[in-house]
Amino acid sequence: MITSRRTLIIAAVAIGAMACGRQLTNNDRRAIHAWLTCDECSGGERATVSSLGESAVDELEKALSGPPANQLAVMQRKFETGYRISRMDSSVAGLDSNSYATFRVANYVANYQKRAATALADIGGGAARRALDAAISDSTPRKYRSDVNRSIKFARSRLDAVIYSGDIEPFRTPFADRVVIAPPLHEHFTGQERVIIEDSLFPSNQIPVNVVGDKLNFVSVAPEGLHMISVLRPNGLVAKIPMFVRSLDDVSDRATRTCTNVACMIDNAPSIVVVHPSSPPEFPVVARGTLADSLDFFRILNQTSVATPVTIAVEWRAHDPNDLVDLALADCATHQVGQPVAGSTATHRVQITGQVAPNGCVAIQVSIGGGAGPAFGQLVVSSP
Amino acid sequence: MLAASRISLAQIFQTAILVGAVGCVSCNGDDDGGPPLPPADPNPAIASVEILPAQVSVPQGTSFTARARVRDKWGDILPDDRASVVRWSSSSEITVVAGPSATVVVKASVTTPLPVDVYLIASVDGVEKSDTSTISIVAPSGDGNRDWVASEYSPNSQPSFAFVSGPTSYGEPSDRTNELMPFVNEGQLPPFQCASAGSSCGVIALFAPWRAHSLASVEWTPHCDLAAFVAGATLPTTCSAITPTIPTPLKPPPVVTVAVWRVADAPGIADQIKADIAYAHSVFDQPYTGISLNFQEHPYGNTHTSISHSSTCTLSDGTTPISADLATSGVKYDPKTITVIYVDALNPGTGDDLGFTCPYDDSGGTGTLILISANGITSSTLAHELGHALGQWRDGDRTHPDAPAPQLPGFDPSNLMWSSETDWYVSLRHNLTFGQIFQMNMANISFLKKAQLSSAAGTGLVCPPDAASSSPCPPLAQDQRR
Repeated sequence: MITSRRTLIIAAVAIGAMACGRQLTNNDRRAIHAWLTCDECSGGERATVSSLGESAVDELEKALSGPPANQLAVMQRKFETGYRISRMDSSVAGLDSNSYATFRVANYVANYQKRAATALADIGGGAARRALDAAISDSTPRKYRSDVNRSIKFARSRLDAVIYSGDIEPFRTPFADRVVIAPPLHEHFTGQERVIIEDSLFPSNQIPVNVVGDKLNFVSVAPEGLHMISVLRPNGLVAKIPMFVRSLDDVSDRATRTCTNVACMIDNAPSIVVVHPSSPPEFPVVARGTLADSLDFFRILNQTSVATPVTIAVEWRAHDPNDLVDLALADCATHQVGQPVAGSTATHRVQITGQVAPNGCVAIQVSIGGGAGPAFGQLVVSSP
Repeated sequence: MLAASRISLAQIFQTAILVGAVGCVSCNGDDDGGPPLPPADPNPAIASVEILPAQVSVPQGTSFTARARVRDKWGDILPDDRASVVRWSSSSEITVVAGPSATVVVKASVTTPLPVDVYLIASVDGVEKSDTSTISIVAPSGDGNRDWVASEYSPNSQPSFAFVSGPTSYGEPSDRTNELMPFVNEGQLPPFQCASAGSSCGVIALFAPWRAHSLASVEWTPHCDLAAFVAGATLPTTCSAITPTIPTPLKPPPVVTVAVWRVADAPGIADQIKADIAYAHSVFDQPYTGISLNFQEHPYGNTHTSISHSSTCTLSDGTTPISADLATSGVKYDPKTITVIYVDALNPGTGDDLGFTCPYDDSGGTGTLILISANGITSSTLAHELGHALGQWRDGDRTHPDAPAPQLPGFDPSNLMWSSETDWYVSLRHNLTFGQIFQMNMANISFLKKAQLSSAAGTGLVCPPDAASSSPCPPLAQDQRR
């Protein structure tokens, strides 16, 4: 199974390269355009573009920058017309024509760019690689949306990837959940392996990895979408396997999903048992939005018979330097939340201290204190 | 789960495999691949105008509304509001208001002997190509040598359309199949006649404005027949009521409940979903769709997700139904409901679908499921997917009229089922042909039939997958003029 897949990929790349330097016909350009704009693409649009091989790379590279101005103008006009003929001004209070069109134009441009990246990775070769590398290095001036950035990076990761021959479970995971990688047949993990989640905000040395039984465990701390996981073996070999982060619903969100108030969130929050010197990290994500988006809670449990001082610290990462994370202690019984302690945008760190009663509980509230987020935090509870 | 990761890998690299299958198409530099691409033009000029309907049978003394639509030089239908510049005139027997206006009211009142053909003319200043509609004004007493069809009538409303089938000796003897007959109130038909008495050899499908579509089998007799879809139709008195009897009165359009769930949290997405619903209403709240959509929005349930799925409505693990996965986010299903779920993204990194529609769940519980990508939607994505859901075109010969190439004759980018909201033409993806609407209402694979919401009895017609077929369903491209 695995061998045949590799063979197929190698064959595909080779044949793609053989697609030589032919000139694009008008219908080829139509095919590329169809792929860049189709809704479901159920008519073989992607495969048709792939079959064009390297001759399509120039067109796709242009598309990585977005659609041409005249096509953009057509879509702008269409969105304005759609708003008008649908009488959205009366049916959608608060959404003006400009806001409607701006949202749709952004999606249209992003779709164009993401499809271009995907097709370039399908085609492969040096020109496609250079186009994707240029897009990654120019991502700021090109003002790519975060999902576009992720698609481009994933596309780039696919090029030349040696596909890991073990298995990953689950392939589709929520944020910061446990993911298990099984070793290839007749191989074993040594405990010296490292895992890199490409396009994660966390470097590999901050991603908890351990070997349990004969399987490599790590935590899926990456933004929503597809990510290439690199498994670094002690012998220097690197192999890749994709992982799909289905949502940014972190462990607190998942535990408090049905809650509509803070009391419920505290009662249902996931627990962290105080241990010396520190507990395994948790990874809260907070963002501006609903109660569930903007607040995470954890119940910190002291399972000893003596009062225990604790330091709770969150280091966070975010795309926006203005994003700010706050911490506040809360009472597990009364649900009273104390005064928040603001984090620092300079250090991207916030810390709070407290004491947990014997066999007691204190709750910690993680909240978005500034910016829109999402801010990806690493929360550690330490005890002297 | 072992299989899960294998399938997901296979999906991600599926195109590479397809590359191997397709290979290098051509290695010469000759452009033998179709005409040059037209330049994208945000302000295309009107190049032609046409009247809907192109011809109509109208009793003396009645009035109706005709409308114009305009096309650009590529033949693509421009947005409806561009027709507001159309000017109207007529042959001398009748008078119409000159406009400019996209619609005109025609009063069929002439002093000349009946029947008589008069003409309605639409034009646009500066556009050479005008259009003429033939209005056949008939006597209220009717012609006892012809057959007739009658429908509800409201002054100034748009005409009714009948698709009529059966053998006729009128002109060249032939079997006519789904011949389109526009009429107001009571329309004159060619004389149909079944080969043997007592046999149902004919069919009439009626598209009356703002009513459920109706389908009736007909025993055409050698003499005058009156197919009355309205109670109390008496014209002409010499005709006999059609057999078997057509149930009257016409029913209101069946209501299709569309439950909209949001498991996406993009900024402003709640209002954008409302905007999508408004656009879908503008598409489906039209006189001839025969369907009424009732949207029910469900509040955000504090959970959001992206979906990576296969073409079989399972997650990319190939086994977990999408519906089951989303049920964990609080989505509930009903077999008589189209369930729309806005997710953060669809197949991000491996295709980035804008929308996706699953076929009707014949095994029970979930009805039809639509997924919409919040970070992908254009103006018409929801409406387009509702078109799939209502027509279930995935079971037909193709999903979209333009893809895979070559495109079906008679369709243009203004059709709702075009594969994209194209950025080459300003035509909004907004229109449905009568052929498409027919299948949404009458075909056995339609949502109305699958969910047993149709006002008409039966499991529906089996429409051949060949889009050019005219029996038992009209060709897919059939519209008010073709």
